[in-house]
Amino acid sequence: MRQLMWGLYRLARRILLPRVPDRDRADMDDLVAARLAGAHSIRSAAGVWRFEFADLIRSAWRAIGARGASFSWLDIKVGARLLLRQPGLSVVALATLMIGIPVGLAPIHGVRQFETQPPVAGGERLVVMKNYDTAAQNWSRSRLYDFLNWDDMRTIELSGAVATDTFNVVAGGESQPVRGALATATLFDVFNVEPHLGRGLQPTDEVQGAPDVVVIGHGVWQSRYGGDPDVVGRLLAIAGREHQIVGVMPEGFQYPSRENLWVPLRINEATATAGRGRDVMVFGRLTVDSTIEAARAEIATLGERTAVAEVETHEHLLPDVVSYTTGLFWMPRDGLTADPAFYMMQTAALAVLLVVCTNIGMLMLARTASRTEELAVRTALGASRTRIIVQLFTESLVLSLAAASIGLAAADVVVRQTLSWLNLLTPAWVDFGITTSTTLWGLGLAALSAAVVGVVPALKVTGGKIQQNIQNAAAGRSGVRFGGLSSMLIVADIALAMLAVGIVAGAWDTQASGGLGLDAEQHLTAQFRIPGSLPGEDLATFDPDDLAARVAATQEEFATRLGAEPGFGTPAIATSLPGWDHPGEWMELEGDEALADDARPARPRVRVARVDIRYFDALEHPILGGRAFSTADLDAEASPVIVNTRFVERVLEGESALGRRFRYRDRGEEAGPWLEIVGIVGDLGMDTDNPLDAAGVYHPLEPGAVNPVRFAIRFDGAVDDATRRLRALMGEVDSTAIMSPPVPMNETVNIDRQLQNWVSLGAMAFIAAVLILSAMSLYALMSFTVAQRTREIGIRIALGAEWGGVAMTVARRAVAQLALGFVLGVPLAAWFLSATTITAPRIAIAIGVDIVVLAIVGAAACVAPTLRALRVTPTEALREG
Amino acid sequence: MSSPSEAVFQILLSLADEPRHGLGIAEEVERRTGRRVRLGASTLYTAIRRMNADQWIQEATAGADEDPRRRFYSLTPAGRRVLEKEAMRLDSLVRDARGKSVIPDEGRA
Repeated sequence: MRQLMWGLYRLARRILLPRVPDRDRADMDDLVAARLAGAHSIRSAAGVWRFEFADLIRSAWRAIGARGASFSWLDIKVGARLLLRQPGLSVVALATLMIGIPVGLAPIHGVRQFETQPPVAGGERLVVMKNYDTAAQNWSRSRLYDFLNWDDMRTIELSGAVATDTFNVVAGGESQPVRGALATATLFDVFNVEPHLGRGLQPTDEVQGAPDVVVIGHGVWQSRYGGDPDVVGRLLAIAGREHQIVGVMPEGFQYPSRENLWVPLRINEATATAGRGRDVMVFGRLTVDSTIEAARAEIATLGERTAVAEVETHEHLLPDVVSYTTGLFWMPRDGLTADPAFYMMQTAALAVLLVVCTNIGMLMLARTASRTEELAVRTALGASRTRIIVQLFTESLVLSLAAASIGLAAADVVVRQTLSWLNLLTPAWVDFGITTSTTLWGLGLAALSAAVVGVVPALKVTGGKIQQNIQNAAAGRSGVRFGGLSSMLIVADIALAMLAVGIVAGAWDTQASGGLGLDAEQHLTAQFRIPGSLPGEDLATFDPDDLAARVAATQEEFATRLGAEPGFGTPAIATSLPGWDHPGEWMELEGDEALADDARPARPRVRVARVDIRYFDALEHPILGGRAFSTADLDAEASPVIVNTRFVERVLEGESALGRRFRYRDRGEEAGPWLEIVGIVGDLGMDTDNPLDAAGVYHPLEPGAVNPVRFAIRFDGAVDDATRRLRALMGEVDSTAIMSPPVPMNETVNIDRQLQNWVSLGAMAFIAAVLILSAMSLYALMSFTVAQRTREIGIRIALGAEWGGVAMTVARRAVAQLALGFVLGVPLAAWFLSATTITAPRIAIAIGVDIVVLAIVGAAACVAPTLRALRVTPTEALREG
Repeated sequence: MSSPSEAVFQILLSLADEPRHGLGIAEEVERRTGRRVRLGASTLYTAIRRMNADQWIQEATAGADEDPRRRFYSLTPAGRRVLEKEAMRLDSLVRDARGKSVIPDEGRA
């Protein structure tokens, strides 16, 4: 990583401060290298790098100023006027930069926002203690036992434990689910926030047998009690247990993440044993004079002792201390910015921007080259080269700043809208909207883009001798020569356009739709969840098997009660419901095991769901062959499965299915156990894009095996009435169960599709813009290279060459460039498309269309300048020299 | 002549007692100012180059025990005059401020 930073710094220095003598350069390198090497972590190395980079930009800026260059309003006006004069070019450049700049920023913005520490006094000292499992190479759960072990650390001034869940809260006769926490009283001290009313939790509340109390959040206080100032002392039923309200927290206090009520977490040291009980999050605050490294060293010593004392559960566990948000989200130890994957994503995002900038730069180069006369006159009137470069830079800056501003404003709206749609459980204090620092980064990127787009062409155009430039201008032609560079760029453009069309074809492929195989409007879908731990329960004695038994009992009771209810069918329970995107698996049929491991495309991919044994009955979806599941299948060793008709057609190519065996197997992984087909059913939407077009496999699901329990149920009559009755019934069966709002099946499917459509529309718009840009760039470059040969063509004609022969020479070079582009681009596009689910004929069509379009663009780019050149009289051609 | 920038002043000051190389200057300034002033490599070397051209500093020979690859710089008489003039200017500014009780007297500070 340091090598990468070092390389980037040196590259930037070479561009921004090109005139530094070699010895000074070596000295500067030594200084920066020494500072980078002296940084003790990646994070502080990144700090050094940022500091040096900013210093480099400031120095380059001062150097430009010292050479008599300055921005003027005139440059900005000229820039804006040029944008308006060539609207086609401006719109394409603006559109691509508008998307390119936010894309370039997306990884760093997302990660930085996600890592924001809670905005409280001393928030940077908040930490989470957790176990790292060295055998599984991943974080492991912490239990109350661990908390008690870590409770008395020298480097941590305050610590606590918390378990979050959603509880049914009854206030004013209505039951509503609310996210809450079982927390030690220290939660309120660690975050250092005073209650708005009453008090927070206190150590006396944690004692076994103490009265049940609750502290409510600002949201609950407002929505349930209308902000009643006398709310303290009133009773609130949480998961069927009355709790006395003792305090109200101020707005914004939703710790540990986005909770709205807090009940005491009671700890019984006698029951808190190693490796048992419900998992908790252990948090703390570092003392003012300690560091996270010191806390890590201290907790590691504690861990060594536990590993010896509790070999069975803690042998591979290495306790660690991480920053609060890192711990809350189980992120990598030093945060996401320390993850190599982040740097790869960031590099890819910047590469996209660079491709965009290079293309716009090419168009600008062609445009700038056509202004040679204007620039030559300016030079003759005394403008320095730096002055002209600054002018061209300012013009590009107008473009890129406009693009960045519109792009960032649009990104802000899109991000907030998308997140509220997705309803992600991000912490209350994390805001993914565009922040000031992101805006500054965006403006920085805009300036950098303007440098690529404006300065590089400007250097090229102003590079020649003044005398020659003026002569060229007088002769009405450009002095710019592209040389081999143009061929390289033309080839790269064609390859890029091929890839872009490929991606558009991919997006177009996912636009298919269809029915679900049942009456979606008359089915409601919902899910219910039994909380893992309830207020007042001892978390240390929590047993997952007990919870599974409770889930199973609730599920059975719910189904029985619904069966007796008029207007409802039987609930169809499954891990994924019709119309949802079911997870996929690669599989191999018995007899095909010999297929090489890298032959994955040859192996079929199927969609998978685990379903209750009455699932198909409940959906009134008949078994077409073989048999339905039965209770005996739940513990059958043979692992029976039911497949859909599409599976029979696609995977078995219509052959008899019953009794056939197959197993799941992904590339490079161990094969799963053999599965035997015992039944066949009709297709039920298993893939959001092509609901009835996915080969699918159903496994029997044991009651209680999953929590939450997802179900679909047929209903008669109005949606509202059915929804209300369903909720009431759930409350009667188990008052602690949390049920999501039931939604008609057709609506869930629509929301899913809508989102997907928006995403693919956005991607298509971007790629289409890139495509138009590369086509324009291709046109500009090719016509420019042909136009440069005007004189050569004139002389050939003067020497008696035939028109046809001359046209052939021009065409030969163009065809060679196009062909080379295709040779590189076609395999690239084909490789990319083969990794998607697009069928081979579609890939062929997409590539074919692309070749034709680009060939037409290329031909058009050659014809006009060639004709113009052929019209030049030999005397004119010779005079130009 | 306009007064030198803070970076230039700090570089001159760090060379007032002995010749130093670039990294040495940056470290001395950082240490003396309690990290209030941090000189980036680009600022440092563009300043050194300009001061060299203005003959405020000159290349000096390194001590026998120093790394021969490093370039050492020392103050020229012209550089010392610039430093003294600037220090006196700053001193008179500070005295003015004291006179108006904007900052406490040296004795009480």
